Amino acid sequence: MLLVPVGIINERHEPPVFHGVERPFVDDVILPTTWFDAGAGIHGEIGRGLRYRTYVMAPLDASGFTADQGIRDGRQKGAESTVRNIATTGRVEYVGLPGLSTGASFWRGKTGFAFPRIESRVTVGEVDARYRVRELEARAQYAHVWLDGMGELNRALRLANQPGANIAREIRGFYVEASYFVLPNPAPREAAVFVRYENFDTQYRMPAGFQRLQEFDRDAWVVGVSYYPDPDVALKLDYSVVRNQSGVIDEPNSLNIGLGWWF
Amino acid sequence: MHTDARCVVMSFLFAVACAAALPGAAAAQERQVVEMVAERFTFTPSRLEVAVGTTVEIHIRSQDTNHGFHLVNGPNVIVPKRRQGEAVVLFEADVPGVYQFECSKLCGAGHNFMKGEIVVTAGPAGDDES
Ligand SMILES: [Cu+2]
Repeated sequence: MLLVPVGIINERHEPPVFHGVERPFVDDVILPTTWFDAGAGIHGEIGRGLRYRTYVMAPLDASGFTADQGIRDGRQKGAESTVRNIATTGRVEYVGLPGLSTGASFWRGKTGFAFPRIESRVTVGEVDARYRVRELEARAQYAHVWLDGMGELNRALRLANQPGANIAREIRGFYVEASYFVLPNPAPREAAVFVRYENFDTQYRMPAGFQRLQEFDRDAWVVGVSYYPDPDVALKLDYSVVRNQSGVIDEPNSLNIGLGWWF
Repeated sequence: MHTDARCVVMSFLFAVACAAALPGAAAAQERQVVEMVAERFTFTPSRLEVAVGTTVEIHIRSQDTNHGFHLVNGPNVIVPKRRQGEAVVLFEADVPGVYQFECSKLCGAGHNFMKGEIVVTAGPAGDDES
């Protein structure tokens, strides 16, 4: 089983790695973390701080795609994955400058084995960066997903059992985050405050004949504190404000508390 | 508990005592200090290039949990958790070649990817890579 090497969080998805009780929305509805499947691949160093990994993996199942969560429910998660089509994925990272870590990744594969007569294909492109200087850390990530064949797929799903099927042909999202360690070095216990802005749209571009659902064009502010009694344990508190472009449907704000650890 | 846990591993010597036969190579060893960061699931830098005759002093700090630094056929030390100190490994680059190192403390799903190498070149010192 392999973790898809896309984005900052997917390969290290345990709570101490990200701020906020929940993962960033972008790592939920644009990049469907935790994203893993059967696969095989290679990895290595190119030199001068550049490294890569590339895998072939079991594909997504387009019959799980949705208007609000994109490709998330198309994950097969290994055990009994259909591998009629093989997907390819890869990532390059540059870590040659102190404190800076940048990466770019992709995933590409046919996804239509549940509807063999529909040519459906998904391409994911993603770039990210993390920068750490003293007690300050900044992160940014942008992800874009292109979905081919969704017009036909929507029509097929509507005829089957999903009258509301309205999958987009492009979805995209980004976030920027800054955090500051207020209990600084050297200390076994740490605390960080953070603020994150996210903007994500799972109806960014629609196939011909389908209307955008504005409530799925969303953005969010998340502010909070992470307290680490140990680097592998995080006690988290955050407040998140989510908005969308629809004039009718409201998103609830939420106060979240959580305890997570890497076991 | 958290006092700077310095695991110093001394003299990783390759038992090839031919330095005296090489003109100019027997002079005082060049010492090079490398700051390395261990983080799930990479070492940064993960490739060091040093000239033969160099003593490399590798200081490894973790950005997250415990890792291990194991030089294949050589020393194996624990890298303490973030902000709890560093591990120091001394490597005598006496023989040109490629020396692999790897994480020796199971640290999660990508642990097996956590590897690197020290390339000892026959050329002059000073072109380390990060
Ligand atoms: Cu490790």
